[in-house]
Formats: sequence, structure tokens, C-alpha cells
Amino acid sequence: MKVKYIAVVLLLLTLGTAQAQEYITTITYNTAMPMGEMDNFIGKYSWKGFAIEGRRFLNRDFSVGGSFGWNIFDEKTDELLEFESGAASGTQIRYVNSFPIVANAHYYIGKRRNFRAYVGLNAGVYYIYQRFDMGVRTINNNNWHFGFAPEVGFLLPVGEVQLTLNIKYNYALDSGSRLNGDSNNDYQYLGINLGVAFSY
Amino acid sequence: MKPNATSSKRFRISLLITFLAGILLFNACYDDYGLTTEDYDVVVTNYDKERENHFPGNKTFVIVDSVFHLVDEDKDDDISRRYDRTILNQIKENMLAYGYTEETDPANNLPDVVLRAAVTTSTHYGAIWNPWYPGWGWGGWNPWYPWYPGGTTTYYSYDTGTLFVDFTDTDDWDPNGAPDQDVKVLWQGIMNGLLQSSTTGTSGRITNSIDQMYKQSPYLNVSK
Repeated sequence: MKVKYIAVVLLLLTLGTAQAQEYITTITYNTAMPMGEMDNFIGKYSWKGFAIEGRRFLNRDFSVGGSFGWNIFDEKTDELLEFESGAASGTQIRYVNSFPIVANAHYYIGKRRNFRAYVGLNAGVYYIYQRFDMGVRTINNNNWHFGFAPEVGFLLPVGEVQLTLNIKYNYALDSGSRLNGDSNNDYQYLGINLGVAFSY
Repeated sequence: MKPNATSSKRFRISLLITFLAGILLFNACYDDYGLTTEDYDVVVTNYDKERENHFPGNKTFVIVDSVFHLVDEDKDDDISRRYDRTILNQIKENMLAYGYTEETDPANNLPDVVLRAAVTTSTHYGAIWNPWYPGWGWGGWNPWYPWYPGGTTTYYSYDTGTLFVDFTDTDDWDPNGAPDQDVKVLWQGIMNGLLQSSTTGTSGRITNSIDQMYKQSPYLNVSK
């Protein structure tokens, strides 16, 4: 009985009103705030990032698609590094480059060619490159992580295109180890992204 | 509805804009923090965790009166002695500030602490290949990458200097041992940085780094 209900819901999601198929290509300028453990390594807000995304509407209210993005975090600090039996000091430059490659699905409220709000979920992989410069030495680390990113946003028609703004919480799950040897190597950052969508 | 010619054109334009934006971003991805020579100085301090009960305890000290030069046996010692007195004076100043008393007759009165300073230098080499600056002709031949078009390769080298300050507790010495016996170092301060030609600049960096060694080692302070 439960299976029947699930099948009916899925069928309704894939049907819906007989609207023409819509495709969207989106380019966004991405900013991000480090969160969680990542904030302990780099606390500085990132103003460098972008993403491209494609979505295909299965019906008026639901789309599926994928995206590729790049966020760059970097910070200069002279924080004293203390360890069990000593300490190290000096100018440090810290970097994290995050490349999410994800599939996504979104649900929309509103009509095409009007203001549309949406909620969605992204899931896929994140390639993350971490680098630490101190003195004349550099150490780095790179890993592939599984990850996901829930988001909310909107599409606002402006002339021939649509303005888009979304807030996305990126969570790259633990993979590998951090540069300091910690086994917990997850990355979290809150993205605020603004861009343009082309609909056809 | 299938995409029409206008939609396809928009899609291609959007991809082109994205590609160009990505190129610009790639070239400007990291800030130029305007690092100076001093920014490359690193100070590390470390102590023997198993003997941390030796702190603070010790009161009198002596500093070995010359700075050792650590040089490979098959190389000439061309390390300058210009900063020896600066190094020894700064170590002494910090020890006095931390409440230690200098032993003026160490031959007859064994001090609690003996300090020694040593320096060494290294030359580092590297190469950077920049593919965005097209050079004349082909970049060269490499068995793994037979041809790569243009680009420039820049070779560089730089010299670094390292200062070691060793702090030994004479309680760990064997009074009946040989004069050249191995002695465990209780605490060590290390400074590493780029060598520069400016005397004033180098002298200031040395004194600042020695001060930092003590600043990040408050457990050495016996005056508290």
C-alpha cells in the first residue's frame, strides 16, 4: 500500500500541467563564508568564486540539472601555532580551493516569466585543495569528497534574462586528513550567489 | 519545445562568458599580499616534553662565547661573523629579562644553564613554467610531453639562513664524562629566513626573532 502511494506521488511530480519544456543555463558570481572546522583554518569571507549550472524542467514546478563551481578562500595571518611541546610563529598564507561538481533538483513556486522562488538540493563530489605557506615552505593537500548543498533562491525576469540569487550551504563530507594531521577533514561553507539565468 | 537558434546562441554566449570569467578568475585567484623579506621569517621553539619538570628551576647561565657555523666538511665556511655579537648579546638580554643571572666564573662555578648558538645557510633552486606567456617556437622536448607550445620557464634560487639557540641543563651533564660528551638539549629556539644584503635589516630581524623565541616560551621565565 505504501509503495502505491509513493508511486502516485512520483507520477504526479513528473506530470503536472502541459507546459512547454524549459531549460535554464545559469552563471553566478559566488561568495562564501567558511563554517565549522573550515573556519578554524580560514576565517576570511571569500569574494572569489563562480558557478555554471544547467537545469531542465520536468514540469512547471520541478527541475533537475547539474552544476560546476569554484570557490577560492585565502587568508594571510600571523597566528601563533602552538603544539604539545612548543610553538611556531611567522607569516602564514592559507588557501582552500573548492570545486563542487553536483547534480541537483529544484522545486519552484511561481510561474514562468514571473518571479519564482525555489528550494533545492545539490549532491555530488567536491574536489578540495588545501595549501599552507609559512616562511619559504609550502605544504598542501587535496582530496575528493562526497558532499551536498541544500539551497533556496529565486528567479526574477529582467528583460530577456532572469536575475537569480541563491543561498547555498555546502557540506563536503570527511575525506582524507587535514594538513595538521586531524582525521576530520570535512569542509562547510555558506554561499551567497548572484547571477544571470538564460531560459529557453 | 526544442531549443531554437536564438536559444542556442544565448547558450553559446553564456558558455563563452563563463569561460572568460573563469580565465580571469584563474589569473587573479590569489591575492598578492606584498610579502616582505621579514614575512618569510619563521621562529620555532621546542622543549623536551619528558623533562619539562626542569622548568623553571634553573637560575644561573652562561653562553658559549662564539657562534658555531654548521658547514659541510667538504665546503668552505663563508658564513659571515658580522652578526655574532648581536646574536650573543640578544640571547643574554632575554635571559636576564627572564630572571636568570649570568655566571661570570663558569670554570669554577658550574652554571645551571649553558646556552649555545649556531648558524647554517642553504641555497634553494627551483623553476616555474608559465604557459600563459607564449615563447618563441616550441617549449622544448620532454619524453613524457613531446611537444608543448611556447610558455616561459623561469629558474630561480635563493639563500636562507638558520639560527639555532640550544639551552641545556647542566643537571643532565655527566660530571665524570668526557668534555665532548653528548648532552641532551632541554629547549631549542630556531629561526629561519631569507638572507638579505642589508646589514641593518638582517640585524633587526635577528634580534626580533630571538625576542620571539623567548616570547613564545614563557615557561623559561624564572622571575615569576
